[in-house]
Amino acid sequence: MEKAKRAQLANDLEGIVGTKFVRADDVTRWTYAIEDFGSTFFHPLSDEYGAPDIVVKPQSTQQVSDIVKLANVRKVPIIARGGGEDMTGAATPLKEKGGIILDMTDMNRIINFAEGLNAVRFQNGIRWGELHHELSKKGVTVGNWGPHGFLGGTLGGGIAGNCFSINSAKYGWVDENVLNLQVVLPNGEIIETGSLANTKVKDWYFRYCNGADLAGIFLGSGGAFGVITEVTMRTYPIPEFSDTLAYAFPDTDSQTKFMFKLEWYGYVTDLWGLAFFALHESFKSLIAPLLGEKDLVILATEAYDKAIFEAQKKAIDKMAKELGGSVVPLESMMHVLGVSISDKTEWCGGGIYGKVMGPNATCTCSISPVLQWQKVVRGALEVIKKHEDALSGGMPMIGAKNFFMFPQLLASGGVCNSVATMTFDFSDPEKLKRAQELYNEIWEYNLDTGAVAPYRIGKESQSLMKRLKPEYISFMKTIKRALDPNNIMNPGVLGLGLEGKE
Amino acid sequence: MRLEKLKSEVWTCCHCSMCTESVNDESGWYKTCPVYRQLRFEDASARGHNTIALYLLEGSLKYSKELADCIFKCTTCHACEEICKPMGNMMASIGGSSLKTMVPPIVNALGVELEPVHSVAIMKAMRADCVDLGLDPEPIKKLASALEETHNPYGEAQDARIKWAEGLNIPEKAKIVFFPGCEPAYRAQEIVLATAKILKSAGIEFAVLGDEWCCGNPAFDAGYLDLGERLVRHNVEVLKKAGAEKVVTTCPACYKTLKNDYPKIVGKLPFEVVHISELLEDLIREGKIKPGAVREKITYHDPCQLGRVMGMYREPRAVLNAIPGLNLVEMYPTRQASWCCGAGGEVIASNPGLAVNIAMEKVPLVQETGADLLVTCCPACKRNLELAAKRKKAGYKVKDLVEVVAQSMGL
Repeated sequence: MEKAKRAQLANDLEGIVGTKFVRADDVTRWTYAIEDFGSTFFHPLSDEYGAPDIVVKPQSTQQVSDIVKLANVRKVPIIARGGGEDMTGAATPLKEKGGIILDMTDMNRIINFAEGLNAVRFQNGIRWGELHHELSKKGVTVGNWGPHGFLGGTLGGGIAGNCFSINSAKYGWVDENVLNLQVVLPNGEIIETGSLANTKVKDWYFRYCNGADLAGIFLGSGGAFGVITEVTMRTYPIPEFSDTLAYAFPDTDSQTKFMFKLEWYGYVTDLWGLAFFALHESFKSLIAPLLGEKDLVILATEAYDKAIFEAQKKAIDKMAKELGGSVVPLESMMHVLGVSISDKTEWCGGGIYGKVMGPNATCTCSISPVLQWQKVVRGALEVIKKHEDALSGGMPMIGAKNFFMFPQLLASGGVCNSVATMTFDFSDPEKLKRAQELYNEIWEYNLDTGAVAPYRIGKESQSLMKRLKPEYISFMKTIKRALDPNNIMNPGVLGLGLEGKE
Repeated sequence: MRLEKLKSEVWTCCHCSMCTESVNDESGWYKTCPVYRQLRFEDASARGHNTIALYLLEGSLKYSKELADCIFKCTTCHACEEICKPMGNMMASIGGSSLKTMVPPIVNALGVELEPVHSVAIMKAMRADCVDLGLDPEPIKKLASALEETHNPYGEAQDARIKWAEGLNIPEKAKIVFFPGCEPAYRAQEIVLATAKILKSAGIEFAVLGDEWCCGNPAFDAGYLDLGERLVRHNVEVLKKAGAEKVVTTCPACYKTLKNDYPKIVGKLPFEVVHISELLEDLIREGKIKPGAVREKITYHDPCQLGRVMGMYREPRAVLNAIPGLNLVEMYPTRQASWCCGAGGEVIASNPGLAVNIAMEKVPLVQETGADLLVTCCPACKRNLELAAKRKKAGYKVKDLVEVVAQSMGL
């Protein structure tokens, strides 16, 4: 954007939100030309991304509406951003487009904790940690802990990015817990979905009423169709009893059957697995003397009543043993350490990625049925081994040198996240190119299996859109054109809003 | 660019937002970066600084006055690094100091580095580059000029440095040397006087040096690395000449600089460096000082350099808990997650308004404890927290640990 135009726009935005909440200087702008790249494949030196023209911090829904109206008149892109944790480019402008970053993190209030309705209403810029902090005072939780970057990420980002999290196996994906949304449409109109669309309803929260589930259009849309400003989510009582259990299985078939059954019976809160065949040789040599050449399942289970909790653990034990599993005495160790896998929040984020997982660990997080997990991972493993020289062993992961693959159980129906984490030296342009090629090849393989779907599209994965059925893409484009004819809402996300390039 | 040397460190930051504004009940974090809490744009946080560093290295950004103004707002409180420590939350949650000690070597043996991204070092390298380019803010230039000319940040005369010691018959040579540092010597003499009285009462023979210069910390913080080195070398020489075997500090910044930074410049030190809280704990345990009763409800502010940087949380609390009648109530957040007072990183010089605004945010945390007295272990924290309490008409007093101990001893 030309300097004079930018100055004029900044001036007009100051008229909406006040001088204090608008920045157009280079230093601020470039600090928003990045987002979390601890995972997936966002990388800041790609030719695709650049700095926004202006960063603005709205303080209310009305201000968001006024900003969107102004952007529509000027035909300037709007990119809503929370904690900047998207990892697929949805929180960062495209270089060729620039635009206004709406930094939503000042819209961070809890509006209503509706105890009798098991619901909480909040502004979308609230961070996960703050929401948990406030809800824990009432003895409740929203179940999910939050995506990568965990407690510093905002709910708005997680909801618009369609994220899962620790504890999704029990509570479902984050968006499955959404009851209502307040959204600023691209024309500046403010709408409420679900029960709040009724003129007389003020504080009753229900999603599936008044016809079509219009909230669903905005969930996971990466801001392509509007700016979510307020959200109501389900709340659950915090379970009094929880434990972390671990079992080793003689083969991957038994392991995955166990994972599936656990979810089927509703015994599991969170679950992570390790399949011996999918480990790097270096990691195999570390784990084999401890557990043998076995496949590991680490799970968290919880209940509200002690007798039910004990019975549940017995049932899990019986199920594991029927499938040839043997107990790994992790439970007592976790007790001594005072930690568990379900309520701890540091498995990702912070230095874990920077220093433990490698300088730039890239994941293909693909969603598949857990019973198909082996098939998905075997292919990814072949691709990784073929291109292993592209990986950087500069800062090894936990004994795993340069790649690490595991399933994480995520949702009903035995859906799992097939994580293939690899380390690359992004500061080397050649290695960066190879990394991108390797990442794409794994994805192509995964999608060819017919058992995988990308869970997050963002801007970085928009090439994956070509694997979607044309009718589906056409339907999305129709919605986009109807809602956002000027293509101002986060152009590039979901592959939409790029005139002539879609 | 000095930043070039840290290129690989810059790339280790994955740009998650934990250092910006995290809340984590398990490990007691309630929001992370004190400057971000005030300024609310990402350029104020460590993630923002690391992004600036990345784009400086990559070439999209150039050093400028506005860039320098941004990075000179960091208080160097290290909250960003503390929350970034891999497994740091778990380490904070696990019970027992022996477990805390055992876990790091075990995980190190597995090839896991429990180091955070060194965001403060990255930020300081950028400050040094700004200084090389003459872009540092005017108050910082003035501070450096005072350090160069008078060897203290205030431009005070060298011969006024130990004026406080007049009539106390403290020698200039002894095995134990008390190193007050500039702020206590020139601006917070109640701290040096209390320290001297306690040491004398315990029967400790100690010296103070008329030729002591600034420890170098303000110069290193401000990016004046060569100047800092000159100050360090001078102090090592005069401490050697005084026959120092043990150097006692009250200021956490002096303590950190002498203990951590001096050996990097001059090699192994011929003397031990201790903080007054360590020494007081020993003296109380050995029965050399016997605190009397002080009936007050107090809370304790962890100075960033003493706590997060040097890991000294237990000792000041042990001293306070040894005073009969004192009721120590912890603030929330505290210890590793404690909120900075805002004075560090030379922000008190470059952005005094920002510094006091950060300190004023801490007032409700103190008030929530119901304490009548806020105790700390750092002259800069004391000054800034006192100013904040006054501005907010908070109704509690602020004292240094040594003042409380001296009071309990009737000194």
